[in-house]
Amino acid sequence: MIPPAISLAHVSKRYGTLDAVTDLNLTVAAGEVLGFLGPNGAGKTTTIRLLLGFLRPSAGSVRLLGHDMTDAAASLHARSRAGYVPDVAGLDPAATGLWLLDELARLQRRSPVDRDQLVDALELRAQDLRRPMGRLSRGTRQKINLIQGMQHRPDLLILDEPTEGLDPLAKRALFGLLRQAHARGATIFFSSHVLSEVEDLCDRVALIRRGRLVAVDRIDDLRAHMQRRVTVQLSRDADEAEAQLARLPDMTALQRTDDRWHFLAGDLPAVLRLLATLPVEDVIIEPPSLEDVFLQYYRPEPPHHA
Amino acid sequence: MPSLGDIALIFWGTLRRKRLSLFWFALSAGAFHWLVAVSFPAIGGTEAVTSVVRTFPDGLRTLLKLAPNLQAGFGVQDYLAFTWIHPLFIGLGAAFVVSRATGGLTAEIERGSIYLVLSRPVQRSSFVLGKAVEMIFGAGVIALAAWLGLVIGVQVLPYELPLGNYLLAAGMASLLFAALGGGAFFIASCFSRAALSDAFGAAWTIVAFVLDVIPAVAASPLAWINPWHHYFPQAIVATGAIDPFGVAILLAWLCGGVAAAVAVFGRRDLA
Repeated sequence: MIPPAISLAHVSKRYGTLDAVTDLNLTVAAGEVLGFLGPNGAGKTTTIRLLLGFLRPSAGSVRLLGHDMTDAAASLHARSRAGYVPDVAGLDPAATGLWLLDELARLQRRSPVDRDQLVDALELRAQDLRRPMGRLSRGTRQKINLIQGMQHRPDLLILDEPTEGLDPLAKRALFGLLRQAHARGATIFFSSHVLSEVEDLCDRVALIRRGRLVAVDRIDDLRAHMQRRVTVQLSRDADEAEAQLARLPDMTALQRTDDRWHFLAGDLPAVLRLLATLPVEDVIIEPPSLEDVFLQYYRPEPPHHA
Repeated sequence: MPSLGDIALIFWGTLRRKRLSLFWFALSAGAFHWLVAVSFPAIGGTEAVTSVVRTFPDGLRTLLKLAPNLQAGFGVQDYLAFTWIHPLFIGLGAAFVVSRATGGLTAEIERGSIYLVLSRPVQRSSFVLGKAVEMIFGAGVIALAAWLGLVIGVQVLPYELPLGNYLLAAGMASLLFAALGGGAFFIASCFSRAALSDAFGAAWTIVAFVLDVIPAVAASPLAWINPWHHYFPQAIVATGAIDPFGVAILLAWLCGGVAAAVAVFGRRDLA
């Protein structure tokens, strides 16, 4: 039986009195693409550093590709099959990209079989790889950062805000490369705060807020749990409509523009029952976007049904 | 167990990245010793130097480690031996090892570049040892460059000098720098901010030096612990011998400091 690519069990990390992450439970199956979402400071990077063994958990266990990451010897096996694209790579400004990629490939002990393909796909020029990285643009340095994490065709790819600094074309190329990696069976852990990226790429998402996972689910299932965006157009002014809409259970964000009412509703049968009693000319019920999901989870009081 | 292959890769990679900095350190050390040698006649030769040294108060003599038995005849040989403990030279060596310790460990965390290396199958111990080997190599290069500068410089002097003895002094200087570097590596392994690591590393080398020139401390039964206590280049040049006990203490500082750095770095959070 193939072990999960990532397994976090009751993982907490505390710095003095500060809880960086608390009681994280997360399993990512081999071959899965998981989006790891959260605003800045939510604990995404801390979680990734726990995954890779840079930080030791205050409690709980971290396993990568079946190996205990708190065991120095075991973690070597996991890291030999993993690729990591950090958010801040700290690339040596005096070194050339080519030299860095060669050095890191030797330390990886795996041949950089995909380097040429990555260089082509990300449209890096040969001369960019031969120039000191201090003279390269931020986007070009980020492309080199991506290549170092992917050039050895890892079984598990951990990316921390990988699109930072990339132009739209490079982003598109990156997503193409990630889809190829997924197609050949790689597991991808994609940390981001850009919702559209996660929505396009990921099977499931995990939402982290103030160091705690508040939801781990398929995007569609998360949406199913969420309020729908409802727009109602009435054929004539109904004085009592606003009061009736306001009394709907699990209804928020009620707004009126001209003859249209907009609101978010969690109890659709109740909405439909009410609308049947009103002079409705038009009604639009939309599933929530991932942004709606995100915003609902990051309201001061998050929903509790995750 | 750390991997020799990884240590070699880390060493080579660091050396290649820092080669320019090492070149300037070595050139400075070499140029300083060359300049001291070629300028000896210009400052008045043996007579002038001896008369100047005799005017030094006891405190300054102690600070400069001017051995009492050498002061009577402070000739060119002693003068050139003195350059091995000149503040410029020892400051250069100490600055090198502290900067290498901070740059190798703390600054790598601060910059984030350490994550590129340690997300690969590289043990933390191999990482620290690779950086330490580069520091030791650099300390040796600086001392050797200083000796070469001296050798070139004395060619213009009409004296026969024991250049082999100066090479021994250079060897002891590189060992002293490496010993100080061992302590600096341990300090660097405890911090995540380069400024703090630099400050404490510099403080370690300076405080240890000052303690060794405070007579009450230097004469105490525990004085032998201090690495500076075993660095006496004028005696090495005069006798052509190195104190094996001093070598052992300096090696102990080097090995102990690096081993402690490996232990701390291997267990700490890298953030």
